[in-house]
Amino acid sequence: MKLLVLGIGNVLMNDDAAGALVVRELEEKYADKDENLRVIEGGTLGLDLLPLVEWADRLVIADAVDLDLPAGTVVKIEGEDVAPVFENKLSPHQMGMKDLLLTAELAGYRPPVVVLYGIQVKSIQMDMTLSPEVAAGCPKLKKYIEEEIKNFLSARIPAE
Amino acid sequence: MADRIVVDPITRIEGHLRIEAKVENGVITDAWSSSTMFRGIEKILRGRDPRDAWYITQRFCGVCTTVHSIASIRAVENAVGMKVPFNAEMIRNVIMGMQYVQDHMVHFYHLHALDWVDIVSALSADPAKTAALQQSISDWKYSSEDYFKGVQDRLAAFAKTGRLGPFGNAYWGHPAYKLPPEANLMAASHYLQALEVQKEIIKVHAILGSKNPHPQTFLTGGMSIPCDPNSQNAINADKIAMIMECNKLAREFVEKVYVPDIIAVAPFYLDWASIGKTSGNYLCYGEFPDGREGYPNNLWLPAGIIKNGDLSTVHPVDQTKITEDVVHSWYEDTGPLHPWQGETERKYTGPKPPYEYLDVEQKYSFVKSPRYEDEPMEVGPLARMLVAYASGQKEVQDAVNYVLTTLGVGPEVLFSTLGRTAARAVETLVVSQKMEEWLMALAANIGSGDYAIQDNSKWEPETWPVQAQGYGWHEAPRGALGHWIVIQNKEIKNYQAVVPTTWNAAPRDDKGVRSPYEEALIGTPIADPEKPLEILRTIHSYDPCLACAVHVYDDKNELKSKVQIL
Repeated sequence: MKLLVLGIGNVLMNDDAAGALVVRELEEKYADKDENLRVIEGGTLGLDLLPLVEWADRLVIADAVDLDLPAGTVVKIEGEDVAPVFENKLSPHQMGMKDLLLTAELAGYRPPVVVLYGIQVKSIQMDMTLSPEVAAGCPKLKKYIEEEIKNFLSARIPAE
Repeated sequence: MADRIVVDPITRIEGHLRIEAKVENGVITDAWSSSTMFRGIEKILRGRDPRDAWYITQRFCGVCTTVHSIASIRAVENAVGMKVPFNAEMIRNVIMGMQYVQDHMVHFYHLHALDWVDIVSALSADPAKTAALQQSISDWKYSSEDYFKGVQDRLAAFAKTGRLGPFGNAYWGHPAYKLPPEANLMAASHYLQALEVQKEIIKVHAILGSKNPHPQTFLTGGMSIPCDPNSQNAINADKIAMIMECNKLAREFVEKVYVPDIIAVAPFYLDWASIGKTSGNYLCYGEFPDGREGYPNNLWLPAGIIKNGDLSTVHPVDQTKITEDVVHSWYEDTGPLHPWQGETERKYTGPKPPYEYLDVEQKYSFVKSPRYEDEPMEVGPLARMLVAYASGQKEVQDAVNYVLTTLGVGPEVLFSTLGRTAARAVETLVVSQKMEEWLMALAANIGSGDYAIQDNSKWEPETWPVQAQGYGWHEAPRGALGHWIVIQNKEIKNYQAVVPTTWNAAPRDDKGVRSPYEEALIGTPIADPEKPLEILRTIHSYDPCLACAVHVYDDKNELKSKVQIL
């Protein structure tokens, strides 16, 4: 079992950065914890992430989403329900993520488990700070992402 | 009867691109290119440490993570007078070269090929005939009937799921698709192979950048990757051997698949050798320092300008002659300004969305109009190959002549949509063949005991003049990229990036002269205004910024996914 945690977003586009920033905070902490765990801030890249996606059995994505919810709301979307979220117009990187998942499927190595933790954006424009609502929601997003990592690690290493 | 068709968005990264085209009697008679997304990048940089700019500019583009870093460090090096050591130049060459090969390959197979190759038609191909076709174009290893049957089964299974995935939302069955089913199946299999190859070769960026995506070893004055064999993480023989292997894989694919594909497909689309012409002005900043004199001397792909399609004269490039105009751009009017004086004061006067058409008599884009001596310039692989060809660059001349002779056509066909697409393949070929030389030069230089990797004599801002300005040029895969920087009291005072797509996708200038995209669309036949595949062919031939944005697709759909609120 291999877990890939991928933070997606454009760090120059305020709220779009939320997923990337949250994962960046976890990147170093879990850098060398386990050979079957990778925590990566992937920016807005699409196909460049394919080797990582191929490697993974369980893909956990953290990303900004636009689902017409109150700004800062954290959501969880799983399996087949993930891809359609990326179909909708939102920010420059979404096209890449959608293509990445479908291309991985076509190439025969879409990870069996895909989970998206999203955070509802307030605004997306060229700026390097998050809106207060989204900034307030980030700890919650981070908590869920870190729980995924901890669950994975505790299942890997049985308590003695 | 005139009909206005709108294609929006064509691409996502670096802003949404929108094309409006006037069609009369089945032919485009006028066109407008617009980006409807504002990017105030320059403002983010003001007041920051110039040495950190590359780290921020790296995120401008979602696809090429190297190009804005390189332009940025060169701008600072130019402003304060740093001299990059040979080792760092060679490492940069390999990073840039691999970016070319990977980016061009992904662009061609995963974006542009689908404008020419009908994936659905591949399902009805005869695998035996496909194998014969493959064997006739090169000695590539994947050429058996069984192999193609396997690919066909895979595509069919995928199509059966009802989701064509990356192939969804296209214009399959359009009359402008001309390839026989076997050629379509061959190309579809190369689509899948290219996915695997690009995945392997981009590992070079992880080796040299210590991390990919987003390589981390750029540094003003050099690179931050040690060359000293005694230090940990240094470039060593193992790493150079790994890079050699990646490049061998890339080169084999380009020689046996990419270039033969272009030669095999071109005869079906020779009409596209007279479609997609621009005014014949091409600009190239030059790239790949190839000697010990250091950048910008002795560039392997020479800098130069071609005017009005005249290949007999290559004019030198003078950065002071570059301006950006905003007459048709949503900014405060300033008149044409050189990038050092450049301003980015947003002033949106366009219609409130949703709208049907833009008012193209007024401002209609967030892209500015860059001009060289008041003339529009096309940039990109075609510009680079034409400038090199006209300058007598031997490798480029040989490769271009080989392709032209094989197809039985003259150099005049280069000024077209097909020429643009072929030039990209030619460039991938010559770069993948050259890369080994840079690696050997790097290894030999380190072997001689030269471990220098950074000029740190100007690292401390105390060594800089109070006021300095510079420019950093880089021929990115998509074309001429320039960053202009003004430094005052050790901080960034002004920063302007003129990116390749700005040159190509710009709106008209103050004299009403069209920019390359707009000009290139004039005269294009449109078989079905509801499905303007022909527009995509020409626009995609420029590689408009996002390799993965394969399709024209619908606006926000109703989301049916199950969403759990946490």
